[in-house]
Amino acid sequence: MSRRIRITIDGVVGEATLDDAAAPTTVARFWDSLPIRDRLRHLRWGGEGAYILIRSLADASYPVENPVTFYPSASLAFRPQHGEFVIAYGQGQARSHQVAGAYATMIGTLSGNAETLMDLARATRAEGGKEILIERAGE
Amino acid sequence: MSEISIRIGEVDGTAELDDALEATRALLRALPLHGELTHGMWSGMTGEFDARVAAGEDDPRVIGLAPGSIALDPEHGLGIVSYGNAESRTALGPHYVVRLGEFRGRRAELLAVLGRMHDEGNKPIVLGRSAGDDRAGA
Repeated sequence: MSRRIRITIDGVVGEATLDDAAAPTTVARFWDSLPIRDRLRHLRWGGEGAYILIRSLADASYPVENPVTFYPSASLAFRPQHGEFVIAYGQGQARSHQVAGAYATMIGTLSGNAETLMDLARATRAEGGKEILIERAGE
Repeated sequence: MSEISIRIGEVDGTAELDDALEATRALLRALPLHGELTHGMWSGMTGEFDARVAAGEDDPRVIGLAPGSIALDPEHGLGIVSYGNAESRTALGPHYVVRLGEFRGRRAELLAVLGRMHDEGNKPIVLGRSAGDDRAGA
């Protein structure tokens, strides 16, 4: 099963495929929290990506499935420590001022209108925060 | 020490720079300097702008930057200002910079306007000679 989500940034719609097989419990927990409406901002410590904090999912004790430290372009990552959900548009890294080499769960990949969504994520650095809506698109 | 004026967005303040550093003297010669601050993406709570000046080989290097610091990345010609937890980094890891000095006048307001960059985006920055310091620009 590969669940799909719809991501809307500043009115521009795209899609992503969640990796149920690699991160089943994290993806299920994320799926159950949808829809999410928030403000997407650029990473300050982690390089080429933008993020939101899903505070209802923040749990430092939660196991990190499918762990990565670096985010490839177009990937979606989730750090349970802070509930940080990241859209990477280039090379990103799981880190903060408290944890230099952290781990995140790779939960999916942009699969529809990916280049445009990555451009919008990139633009948050110069233009500031942008409205983002994440919804279920299909199972 | 030399005092300079610093404007970030709509906030006018001052900063004090260590003019024993070759990098500071180069920056003073380049004033007034107009640039655009972009939020840092590897170094934490920082803003970066094109400073177009070089540092001396003997200027001491640092990585950690306390809030309100003004620094120069000599390798990339970037000026750096910090408003919270910050350490100079690139995608490759820690990266040395020269710390030139720190905010003085209207420090809290300068830190606040820098902090708003994360949500509001780029801000203009102007570094100039301070009216109260004849040495600036010497």
